[in-house]
Amino acid sequence: MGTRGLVGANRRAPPLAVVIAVLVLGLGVTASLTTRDLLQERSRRATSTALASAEVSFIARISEAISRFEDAARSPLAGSPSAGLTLAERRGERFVIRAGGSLLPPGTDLSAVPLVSDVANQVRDGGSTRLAIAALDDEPSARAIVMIPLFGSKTPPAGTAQRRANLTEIALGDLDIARVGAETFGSIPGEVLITDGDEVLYGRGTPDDGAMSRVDASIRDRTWAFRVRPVAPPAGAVPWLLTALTLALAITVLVSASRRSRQARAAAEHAAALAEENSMMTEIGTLLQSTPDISETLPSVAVRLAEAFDLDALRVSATGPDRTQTELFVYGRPDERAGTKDVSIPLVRAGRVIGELTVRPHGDAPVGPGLKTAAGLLSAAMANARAFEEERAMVERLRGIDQLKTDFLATISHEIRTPLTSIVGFAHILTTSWDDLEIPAIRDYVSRIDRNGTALSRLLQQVLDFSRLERGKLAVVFDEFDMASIVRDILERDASLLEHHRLVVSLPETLPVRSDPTALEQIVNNLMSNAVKFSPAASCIRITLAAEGEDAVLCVEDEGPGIPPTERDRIFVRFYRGPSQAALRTRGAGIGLAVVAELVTSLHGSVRVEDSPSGGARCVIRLPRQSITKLSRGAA
Amino acid sequence: MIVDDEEDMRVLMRTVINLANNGLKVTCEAADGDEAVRMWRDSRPDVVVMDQRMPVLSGLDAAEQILGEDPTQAIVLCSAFLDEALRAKAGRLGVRACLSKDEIAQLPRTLWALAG
Repeated sequence: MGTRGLVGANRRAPPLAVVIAVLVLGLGVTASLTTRDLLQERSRRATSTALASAEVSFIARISEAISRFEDAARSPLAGSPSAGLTLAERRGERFVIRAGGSLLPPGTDLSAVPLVSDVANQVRDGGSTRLAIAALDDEPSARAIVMIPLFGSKTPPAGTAQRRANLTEIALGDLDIARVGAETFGSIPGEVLITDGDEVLYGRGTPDDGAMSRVDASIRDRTWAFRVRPVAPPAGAVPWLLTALTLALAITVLVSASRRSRQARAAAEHAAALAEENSMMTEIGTLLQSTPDISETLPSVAVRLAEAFDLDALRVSATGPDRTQTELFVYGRPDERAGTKDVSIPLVRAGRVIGELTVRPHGDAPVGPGLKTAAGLLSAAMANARAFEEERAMVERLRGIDQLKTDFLATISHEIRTPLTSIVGFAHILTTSWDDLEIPAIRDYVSRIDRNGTALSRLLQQVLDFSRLERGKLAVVFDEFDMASIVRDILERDASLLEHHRLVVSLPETLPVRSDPTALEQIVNNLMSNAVKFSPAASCIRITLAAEGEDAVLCVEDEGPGIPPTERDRIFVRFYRGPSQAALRTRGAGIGLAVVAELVTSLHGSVRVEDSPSGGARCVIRLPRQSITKLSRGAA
Repeated sequence: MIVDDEEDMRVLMRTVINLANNGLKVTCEAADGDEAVRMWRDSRPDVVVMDQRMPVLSGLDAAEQILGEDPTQAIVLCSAFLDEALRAKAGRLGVRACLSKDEIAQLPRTLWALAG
């Protein structure tokens, strides 16, 4: 498995979002352009209509101005400034501007003004109003001048000769095309060009003759060309707004798609991490379950956890019943660096803390839930390992007990058969050879039968005690009595047991206790038998009883080989008979001292074995004298 | 020679042999295997009656030593607990006969068979 395994790899974002965004943007721009074109077309049409209307209006105003000039020229006030006319009087064949006009300087001979002079002759000869187009100095546009013939009569003479002869003045009126054009076309966007032949009467914008629509109109004797081209005003904010909205929508789509892509990627990475975590958990679980001996698998598991969860250090420890921590495995060294943020996860099983997982995450990485899951697996494995150990220990104990029982049965067979053989053998001799035997021999054989019978009886009592031990029926019943008297009676009654030893007894006059006299008798008997069994003939057996504080202390001391310290706990275990040689030298089933220990415990006392001053064994029983009154372990 | 750590058994076997009154005689007695080997070297009896379960040196261990020195020595294993494994082991060592202690009345006949 690779390191940092639970961190997902980056993936490319799907291009769908970009495609959608581009499409949206394209549609938006197209819509924007179309809208702009539509708006401009509508505006252009409106402008075109307005221009046509303005043309009509222009022509009407010009025609009206000409008529007004004609009326003014034929009125008596033609020469006044209010008439707006400039008069040119006839001086022979010439026409000279009179004072009072504003169109041309006084004294100007019309024949010297290009175009005007020709029109003047035509007016004279024709007798009707004509328009002259004059290009004056320093003016960008030509002027349209109304030239009205004035005769001495109200109506022009009929013939040309009469008209030449009778013409007195020519009235000139400036049509002021520039002003009328500005007033007429000024508010309309677009390019306008009004020409008379080659002369420009009015122009606005940057006229381009080729691209403009043209309409010709007759103004009296002149033909004027109107060229117009509507100029679409800017489409306004709508297309830009539409473009901006489209752009915003595209950005929104991109951002949303990007966010969803990130979310999808995060979800995919999360799913991948979960899958890998599950895989790792399965791997760890399999590892941990591969053997009940957790010490074999823990190194692999710890290293795998450290890699998977990016840990610098890791420690697994077991918590003992006394809450002491036993280190099972360490990866790295948690707790060594000051200031590190080690995290401890208790390993809990069945509500009980059985250990601790301490980790040091790499950097500031948080401890994820996966590690807690792993801790759960560790807990289960540790609990299983502990259960396995306990089971193994239990099996070992049971095997030990089974072996002890096997030994016990072998021993008991031997121990029963030996006295039984003596009893049967000597009884057979007495039966078959009575007449051939002398009295001392008979007495000896009977004595041997008696002694072996007693030994057999005692052995059977031990077997009975063993049976009670097995069934937990070694019961005690508390009563008040004199312990000194009980011990004294036992010694007198079992004097034969001690016939080959020297007995030294130290008893108080009385020692009242509240205990179980039967149990006490059995305890003293078993201790005395033990002392006799393991000490040589003629050696001293010392029995003392004394009150010490709230306790009665009974000591049985012999001069035998003693009990090595390593054996002192084991001799109270059922069926244990000590080292093989000691067991072979003595009779017994390994029950006596176990019964003593059980009874002393039932009497709320204690028993221990120590060295006696002679090197033998001293068995010390300490029993409470008064304090315990309750029944123990049920009634028999 | 009688070898048994139980004095009662030694007395019983000696009495049974003596009461048989057919020429058998107990020349010596030992209480464990080690003592038996030492006594055997001194007394060289015709037959050794050997208990199995004894301190210091078991009956078969003592028999092995004796037969190692004299493979012709007649030995009877007399034990309170005789099973097939013990009989087989005794046979492999060269022990001539095995007798259970509850068959002690048969001891004189067994001895005569071996000594004769």
